[in-house]
Formats: sequence, structure tokens, C-alpha cells
Amino acid sequence: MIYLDNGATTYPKPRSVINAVNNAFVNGANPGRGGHNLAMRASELMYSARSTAAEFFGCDDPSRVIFTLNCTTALNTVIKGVLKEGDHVVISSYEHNAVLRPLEKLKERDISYTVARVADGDDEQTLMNFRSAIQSNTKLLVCTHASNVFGVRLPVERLCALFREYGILTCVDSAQTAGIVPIDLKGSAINYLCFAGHKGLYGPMGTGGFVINCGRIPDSLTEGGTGSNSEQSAQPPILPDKFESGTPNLAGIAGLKSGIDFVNSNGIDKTGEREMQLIRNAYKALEKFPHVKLYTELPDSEKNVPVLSFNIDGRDSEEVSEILNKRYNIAVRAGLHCAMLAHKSKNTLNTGTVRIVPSVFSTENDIMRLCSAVYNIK
Amino acid sequence: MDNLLQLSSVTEAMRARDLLKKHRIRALVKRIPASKGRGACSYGLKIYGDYNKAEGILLQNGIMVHGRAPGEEYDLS
Repeated sequence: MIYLDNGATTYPKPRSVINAVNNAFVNGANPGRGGHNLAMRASELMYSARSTAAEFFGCDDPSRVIFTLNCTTALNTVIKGVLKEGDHVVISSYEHNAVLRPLEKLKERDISYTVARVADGDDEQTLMNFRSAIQSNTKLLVCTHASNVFGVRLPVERLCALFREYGILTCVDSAQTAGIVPIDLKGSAINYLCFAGHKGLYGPMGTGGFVINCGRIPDSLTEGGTGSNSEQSAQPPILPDKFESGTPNLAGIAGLKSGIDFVNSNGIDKTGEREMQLIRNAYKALEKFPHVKLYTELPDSEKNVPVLSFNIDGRDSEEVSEILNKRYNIAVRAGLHCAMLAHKSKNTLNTGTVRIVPSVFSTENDIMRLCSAVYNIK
Repeated sequence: MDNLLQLSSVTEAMRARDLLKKHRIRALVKRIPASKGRGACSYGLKIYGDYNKAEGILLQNGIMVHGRAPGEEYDLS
């Protein structure tokens, strides 16, 4: 199988990640509760993962790294924990449904949002569009770091700095960039960074989180047992306990730590450049085929991440995906990629697109075989 | 003897331990049962060195110490 669906989740996982998950099952019990050896060992493992993630994102305080089930839960926690009745939010035209749907739901609480159009490759125009969307009651900017469909990177640092000038909180969705693009929160205007653990960080599915990079701590989304302040009926305000009620996914988080170590050992810049080269090669081959439609300029590391969408004339994207799977043993992702807004912005809502995303394990041969297969699907 | 510094959570206790290590003070994270703590189960630090100095370093770095608890082990004889 040639696996090019790494935008959904990276596959395979590194052997070190699998070993870390196994070890956590063998050597760990419930962390942050008991005092026996297995519980303490599990607590050490959690703390070690938290410290690794904090360092990876340039955060000085590991307790500000909150582990969640995935990036969607992280985004929901920030969005619903920060916003109050009457607030307004600005989002980009490339947002995932993990942002759009919570905001649709919040309309019930008189919370509104505006979609600011991203001008591909024109950061100045993008900044102007976002500035124009700010209202007197705008409380939060939620912005993806890069489109999960078209790979377009957004100028998130500049956007967050702009919104900070207006006293507006900022939240960045790094689901498609963490592990691919270096992210340093030191001195950054990003207030909340949400991340997926199982994509570019190579952890197991069921892992993700967010980093709080400001003094405004959101309200909790879930309350319950934390192993701390148990004599009190109210949820403890301390971090990370405020957001981590219930037994955590110890094995998953151990795997996530190992995944981040894996990314660090490969070198994030080197990995990102290599994957971008693969995507550029795919683009250059596909653009020569008259029956293939592409939706962006030739990707480059400044303006894109290694994510590419295309369609074949006269074929539904799902059909192309099925042919690639059945005839050529190639895994890609077709359809709308849970990103209705992104497809709306490129007029692909009716057709969807075929998306390819390489990983550190992808090879030049994988890309050549994909392109050869696409050439033959007419 | 009250020789365990009581902290708000296991994460905080481990963060405090790592901070003290940078100041060359060895500390061990231990569970503090409700009967020995301030009415709640929590985690604390057993300090191998100057308790007052350790507490001062933690406070200077924004780590709240919630008091001291007896550090002796249960008698299991």
C-alpha cells in the first residue's frame, strides 16, 4: 500500500511510538491519583510528555500544555471556554468544521462569526480582509495555520499580532502544521495553540491538545475527578487539572511523546522540506496532464505545507479515490475533508477533491506511482 | 516532623522538583494522604536540603506551596 492520506493521520507510526504505547500499558497505571509505584510511574510519563510538548512549542511552563482527545476537542474547549453571549469571532475561509460547527452551535447563545477571505499568496490582502472583519464586539480570532485541503499557509503570526493590537484573543489550529512547520510560542501573539497528536507529530489517534500562551484561562468544558483538590466540589482552577477531568489516555500520550521525539530526531525543517519537495514533484507531473485540475500555484515552503488537492475531468473525487485504492493500492482522501468553507472558497463543494499528503516515510517512487496511476485514469 | 512541601497537583509537584534540581536541591515527589495533608489528598515534595530555601525558590517562580505535611512513613510493622 502506498499511503498518501497522512493529512488524516500519519501511517505507519514509527516503531518507537508503538513501543512507547506498549510500554505504557505494561508499566503504567492511572496517573495523578495514587501513590504506588505504577501510578507514580504513570504520572512521570504524563509529565515527561507534557514537558516534551511544551519545549517543542516553545512554552516555558509544562502545566500550560493541556492534553485532549484530538485537535477538535481542543478547539471546542478554547472556543466555548472563552466566548460569552454577544461576542463575535473572526475565522478564515479555510477553517475546518472543528471550528465552523462549534461556532454554528454558539449562535444559539447569541455568539456570531464572520468569515474573512484568505487571498492565496497575498498576505497583505489577507490581512486587510481580516482587519475589515473586526467588529466592536470581536472577542476571538480562530485561524488555521494551513488549509487541510489545499495546503495554503496563512500568515498566522501577523494576523495574531494584528488582532492583539485590538485587544482580541487569538487561537491557531495547527492540525496540519505541528511537526511540519516550526512553531515557537515565545514572544508570539498566539494566545491558544491547538494541535493534533496523530498527524505530523506521529502519535497515536486519540491524542491532541492545546497550549495556553496568555493569562486568560478559558472556562472548562468538562468537570470531574482530577486527583487534586478532591475535598472541594468545584473544579480546581489549577492547570492542567482544570481541563483534564477523568482518566487520561496514558498510552496515547506516551506514544505522542515518542512521536515528538521522533520529529525532533529527524529535524523538523529537514522533514518539512523533503515532504514539500515530494509535493512539488507531484504538482509538476500532474500539471502536465490535460485531464487533471489543480487548485493552487506550484507549492513552496513559504506559502504552503505539503498538502495537494486535484481532480480528474469527468470523474468524481470519490471515484478516483476508489480506483486508486482498488487498482493501484494507493490510499488518498477524497471528498470534502470536513472543510466545507475551504471547498466553498475554491468552488469544489459539488465535486470535492482528491487530496495527497506525504509523510516522512513517503518516497519519490510513491509519488511517481501515484502520478502514473492518475495519468492512466481518464 | 512537617517536612513535605504540599503542592496543588502532581504536575505542579514535578514541575517544582525539576526547578529545584536546576538549583541543585534534590527533591522527591510523594503522595500526601488526606489524613496527613490539609484535608485533601495531594502530592508533595520531600526535600533533601534546606526547606526554607526550597520554598523560597518555588515562590519566586510562581509555584504555590500550600503548607507542610508530615513526611514520615506509615508504620507498617
